[in-house]
Amino acid sequence: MILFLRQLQGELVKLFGKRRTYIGFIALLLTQNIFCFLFKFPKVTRHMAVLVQRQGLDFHSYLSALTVATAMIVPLAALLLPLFITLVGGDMVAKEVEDGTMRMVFSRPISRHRVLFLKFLAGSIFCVVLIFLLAGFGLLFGWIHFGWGGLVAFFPEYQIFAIYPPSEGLQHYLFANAALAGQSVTVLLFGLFFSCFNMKPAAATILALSFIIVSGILHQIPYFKDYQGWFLSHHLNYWHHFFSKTPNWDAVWHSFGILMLYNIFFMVAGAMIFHRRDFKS
Amino acid sequence: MLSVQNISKRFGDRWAVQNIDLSIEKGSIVGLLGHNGAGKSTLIGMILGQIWPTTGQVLINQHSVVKQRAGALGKVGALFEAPCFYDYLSAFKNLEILTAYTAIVPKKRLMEVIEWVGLKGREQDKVRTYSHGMRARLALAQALLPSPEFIILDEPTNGLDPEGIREMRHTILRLHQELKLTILVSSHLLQEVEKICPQIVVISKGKKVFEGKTSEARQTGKTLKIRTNDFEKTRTALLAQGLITQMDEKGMATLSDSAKASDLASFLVAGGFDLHELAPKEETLEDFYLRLTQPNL
Repeated sequence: MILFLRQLQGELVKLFGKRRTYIGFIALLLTQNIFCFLFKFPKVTRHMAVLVQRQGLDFHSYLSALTVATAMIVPLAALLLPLFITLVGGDMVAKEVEDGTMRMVFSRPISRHRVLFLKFLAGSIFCVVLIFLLAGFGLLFGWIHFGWGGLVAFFPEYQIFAIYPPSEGLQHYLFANAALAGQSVTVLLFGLFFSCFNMKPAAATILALSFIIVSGILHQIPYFKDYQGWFLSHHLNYWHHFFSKTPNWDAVWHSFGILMLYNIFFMVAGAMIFHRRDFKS
Repeated sequence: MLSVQNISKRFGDRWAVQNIDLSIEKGSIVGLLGHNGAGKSTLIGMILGQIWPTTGQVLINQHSVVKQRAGALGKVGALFEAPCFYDYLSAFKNLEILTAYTAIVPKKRLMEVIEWVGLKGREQDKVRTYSHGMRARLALAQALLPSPEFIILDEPTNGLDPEGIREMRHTILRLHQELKLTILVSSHLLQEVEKICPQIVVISKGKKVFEGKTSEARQTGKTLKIRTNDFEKTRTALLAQGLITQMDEKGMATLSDSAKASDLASFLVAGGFDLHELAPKEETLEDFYLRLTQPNL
């Protein structure tokens, strides 16, 4: 067990030691600040303000860190996180093979399955840390710009509009981010799966990202409304439900189950491909 | 220590390695010779379980590399021609990460090896700041960790300057003498192999064409230097008698399969030739290698 933990520590050092990891993270933080800046324009918050005022509440006491941090999850979860996480996942095996370090690893008595499992674990830890750091920084930047207050969750495409006092809002915010962290593991595994093939890291990333984006576009097209359950991106959005006053638990568990099946498929298929490969100089 | 049994590897339609048997005894140094693309690295890849054999098997200390990887490779270290590291990390961190794939190694042992390869004082520097020679030493350090009994060196002198090559040769001999390691050195540099390895295995086009002592390889030539009072007459007579197969203008003759140098001397003396010189030409490893790999030359 100690040896396993030491090996996992090595994988984490490799992952967190790369400058690229931080460049991507800084880009995400900048995006969060841009979002805070945009929320200062009344035009951006107009619809939300109208809905809150209809409830007889003062919108300004709800234009808070929680509200802004919640709103900024949408673009992050839809595009920037998949981009960043598939980049990390796509790199995990393919980059090591390209750089030649994988050959150094496999001159040692460790099995391929174990190496892949270690990479999956390290990547999953990375995803969870990333999501919760972004959640924390989102709140911090929101607090700096707008102060503390209640949460207004407004996702019209999911028919979600809810207003919470700060403490309850924070709970919903944390649960939604936990769900997002779980979903990001599927995105990571997708990148890792392609990374197991004999291809360049960029190709693995582009393939995984293209699949997610195409899936996202298709599932937005009304023609495919009846087939939404078939699209990966549909299930990658179940974090929204945690902002509802009465979450649709059936939908949550359904999406969770589908993502677990995807995870198992990516892991098993990736391991089989990785196991069959030859590692040459 | 190592037993390679009838191993072959096919990539698509091409056989990279074909039916190679190889055995290395504990404590020996064996040179694996072959030109670029001969199949050396593929063979080493199969020995280390990085490349799956199409047929055959590799046993290290009686353990199958494919089926009992941990047992087979637990006491094996390897160094590759282009050592690759996590350049953005320090040398020490690289060693910690790579050795953890084998066992937990105390810091004291890591420092011992760092000192042994001559990198003390630079171990906390990022590998990207290292020169080629320093990377080679670091590669050697990782191969020596935790504490192997058998070490595989794939083209260890590639890319090194003459001083680096000499240093690496010296180091390999130290590994054998001081640490009593069994060593397999792959190279296409004949002179280097000749200086280090008492035993060689020659591979050409994926097939083993020779396995034996280096000294045997040098003596298997049948070339003689012949000098008499009449070059033309001597050549004609020896060819007619079937004692030689050819003789060049410099008097270098190749004995026919059945002939011995003493037969040739007796014939020349009996024929009334003034025999001034009859000396076997010691074949260099290069001559031997070329004869094996390019018989038409």
